[in-house]
Amino acid sequence: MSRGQDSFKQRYSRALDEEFLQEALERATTRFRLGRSMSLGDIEDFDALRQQGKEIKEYALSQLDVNLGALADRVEEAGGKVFWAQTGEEARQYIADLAGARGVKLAVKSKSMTTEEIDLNDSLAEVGVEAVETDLGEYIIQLAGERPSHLLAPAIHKTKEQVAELFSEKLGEDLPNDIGALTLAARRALRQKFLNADMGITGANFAVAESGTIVLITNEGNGRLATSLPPVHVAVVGIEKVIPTLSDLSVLLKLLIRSAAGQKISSYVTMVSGPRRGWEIDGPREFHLVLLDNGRSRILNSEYRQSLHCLRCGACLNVCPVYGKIGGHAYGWVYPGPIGAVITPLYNGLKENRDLPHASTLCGACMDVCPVMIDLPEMLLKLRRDEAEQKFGGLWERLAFKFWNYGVGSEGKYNFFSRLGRKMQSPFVRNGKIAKPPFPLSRWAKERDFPPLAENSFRERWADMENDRPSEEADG
Amino acid sequence: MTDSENREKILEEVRKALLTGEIAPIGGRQKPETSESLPSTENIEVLTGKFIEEAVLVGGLVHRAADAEEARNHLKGIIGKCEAKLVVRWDDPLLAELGLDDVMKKAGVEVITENLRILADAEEGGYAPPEKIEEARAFVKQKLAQADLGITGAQYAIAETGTLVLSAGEGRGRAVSALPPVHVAVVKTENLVSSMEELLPLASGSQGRDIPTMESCLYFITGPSRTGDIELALTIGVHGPKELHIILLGAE
Amino acid sequence: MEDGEKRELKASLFITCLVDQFRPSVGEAMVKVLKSYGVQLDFPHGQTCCGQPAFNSGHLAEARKTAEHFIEVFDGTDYIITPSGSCAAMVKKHYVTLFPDDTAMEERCRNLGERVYEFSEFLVKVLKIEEVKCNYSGRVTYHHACHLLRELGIEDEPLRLLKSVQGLQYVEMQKADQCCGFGGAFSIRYPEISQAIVDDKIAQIKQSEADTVVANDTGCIMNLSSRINRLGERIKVLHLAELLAGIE
Repeated sequence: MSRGQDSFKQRYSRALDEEFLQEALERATTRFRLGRSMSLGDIEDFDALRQQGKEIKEYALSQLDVNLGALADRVEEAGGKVFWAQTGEEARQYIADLAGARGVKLAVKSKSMTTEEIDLNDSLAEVGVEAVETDLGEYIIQLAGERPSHLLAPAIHKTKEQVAELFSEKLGEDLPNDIGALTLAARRALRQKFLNADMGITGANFAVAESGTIVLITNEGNGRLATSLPPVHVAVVGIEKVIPTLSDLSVLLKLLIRSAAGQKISSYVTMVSGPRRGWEIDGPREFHLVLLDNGRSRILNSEYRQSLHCLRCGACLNVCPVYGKIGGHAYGWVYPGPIGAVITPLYNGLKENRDLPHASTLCGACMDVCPVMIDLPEMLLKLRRDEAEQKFGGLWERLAFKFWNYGVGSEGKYNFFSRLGRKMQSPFVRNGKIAKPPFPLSRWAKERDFPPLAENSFRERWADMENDRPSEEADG
Repeated sequence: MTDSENREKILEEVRKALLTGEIAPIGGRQKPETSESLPSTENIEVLTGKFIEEAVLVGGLVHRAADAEEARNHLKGIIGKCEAKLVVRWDDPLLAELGLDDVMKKAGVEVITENLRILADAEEGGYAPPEKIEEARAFVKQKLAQADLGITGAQYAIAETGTLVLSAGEGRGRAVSALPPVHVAVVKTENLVSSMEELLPLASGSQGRDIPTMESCLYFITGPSRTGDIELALTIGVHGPKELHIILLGAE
Repeated sequence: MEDGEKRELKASLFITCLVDQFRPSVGEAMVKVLKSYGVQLDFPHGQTCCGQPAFNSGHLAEARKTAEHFIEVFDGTDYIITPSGSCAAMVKKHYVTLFPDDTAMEERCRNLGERVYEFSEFLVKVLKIEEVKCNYSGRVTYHHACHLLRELGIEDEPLRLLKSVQGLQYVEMQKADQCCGFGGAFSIRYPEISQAIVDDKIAQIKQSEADTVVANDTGCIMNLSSRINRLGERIKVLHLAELLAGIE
């Protein structure tokens, strides 16, 4: 389901106007790009590693039923519980029921796109559970009531002044515009939440079938606290996250962490394989693995299966010229950037999101950096084809292309329209440009000088060139 | 719907998708190579050097100790600098061997050892009433919340990235290395391995066996906790420890 | 073969609809340069468009018809030279995908793709030119057109030729491989985003202090020059061929 009632155009227009967002996007994408390329310095053949990653993902999905079964068996053997949720609604219901049954009043959450995908926090609020985001960036935007603007750094659109104001208001303290002090304030506030939480909710970056292990990658340590202090741990994991073995994991960890954060490894990698055992002094008494389908098996069964390979690293965002200008909010859902433009229509409907596949120049930079070599441009093209076939685009567009097709159908027609165009444009050509070309070219001309058709086309001059006669006309 | 019905429904959808969808590549995938890592026949000194280099790069503080006395001295220094008054530690044979408690007691530090059986007054046979166990857990949690410092061992350390590997288990709590603002980890150089690829089979005990078995929780700790979430400015010490001290035990 | 040696090569011009209709000087420049290397050129008159606009907007049937027409028109030619990276990529990489159930057509597309060359690619790979014998005085920077760079892998060739021009001062700009924001229909569907992207590109050009930017794709050239003109910036936008031919 899509967020908000604004149109794509309204959202991106707003983003283009926000100066601080533009600066923040520039800074963030540059920093992440640099970090990524520097972190590749000690890997001899990164492309070979990417190829390995791609093959692991292909293989993992090709055996998805086997892998899911093995994962679930191992988790249950270790004393964990597995809930299979076909839809987001089923997952929400299960977790809400569990919270009710355990008397949960407070839950701490470690960053999980999957839980945002299913709007988990809202449904917990409905049953009286306060679900606190503990990833600093997510905490900030939760307090502010906003959506993330970047996959990894959700609050980059906020200045430290804005954060200081926000924290001062919500935490009831008078905080300076100092990042260290603000971080400390968040640490203090969230420690109380960690200590008093009845439930810890996380996602997982990977789920390893052979050992029944889920893997959490963080830098802040909130994933560790959320999985060691509260008595109940719930992990919501998309079924596409399952990989067969631990050695597959080591390849993907390398790819993900370098592509995402430009680090060789994050500060914390936590591998959880069930609830606490025996005389362990802390750790959750109960571990619930919620395996989420929510459309993934449908995508598995489509031309878009490759999109399920995504590791959610955010590298594609950092090189996308479009994302770099419009930021995360403009995409209207939880996944931004090139991958967001592909999967948002797949999960929430192409008709409702038909702008996204078109809002790309198909430059291909995304595919170049994807750690598992997902062919994003190809999938954007496929979505455009789906849209053309299903005729969601305006009537005008279809007519325009039919007309164009007619016009380029033969030399004769082409030349006819070329001459016609030149005749029709001549009253409007001034100083070598057309100030007000007809719609839709008028949209181009708002901020750019639209060039006129040349007085003599190349093919008309060819005869002279062929015979080496200098052409009569000078060029504009 | 029952659990197994839910499971079957989803697996059915997946199987259908796989039968009618794209054909999987023939031959699966190549076995991931470990060509990136240093060969593990590398001697300990080389691994140690690499580990220290990487650990320091990410902000860890490394203290080499050739024997128990040097280890104790390092701890004494750390405790003094942090002005620690309350410490929680793993109930680990290595930590006991090193006699770290003496140092701390002499400095007037209260030490809580994570031995649940003792704390819950368990009988010889291993029984204790559930309420006492819960009380003991709550007690330790409260102490952890106030502790200035947490001390653990580390099962392994990875040289390639300067990473400590801690596994949870009896006597080896999780929050002790995450909640207090300072974490001290004692690791033996003989437990150094070169890379994650080398480590995982060891940690899962899967060498020579068909099915790997993991501990309930395995932590890979590299440096103190950090974030860049506000204006991308790097800040050390968010939710996890602000300081990570590694006492590296082994002949120099 | 020696650098710049004249030889009897026959090639056909695939001039592209944008060059033909909006910027024929690029075509003229190509002809001048190729002729100076002794290439015998012809211009198959039936050519219209490569089909990108329809293809990129998902209208496959129309794209297919255009491809079929193109294949006919250029049947039997040995070398097909085009000034536009994106058009070359369309023909070389995407035509074959238009005929999934027709192996005969797929074969024709593959064969066709092998005969198509982007202008600088042709100079370097076929004519084996290492240095060009021409002058240009100015500070020149180069923009890597996306399809040329990423779909065709042509990165070095235009730069090598450019840097060998006498009197030319080459300067590299930041993010030289970032998209210029044209994207075909994108620039008309989302003009504000397109403008924000091209303004970035222009800022990079200005920062490099170049007075000229070279790009081997007509879409990029049109996009850059139309915005530069509106902004009143004094930056020349040229196709490599135009620079080599001394046509400004």
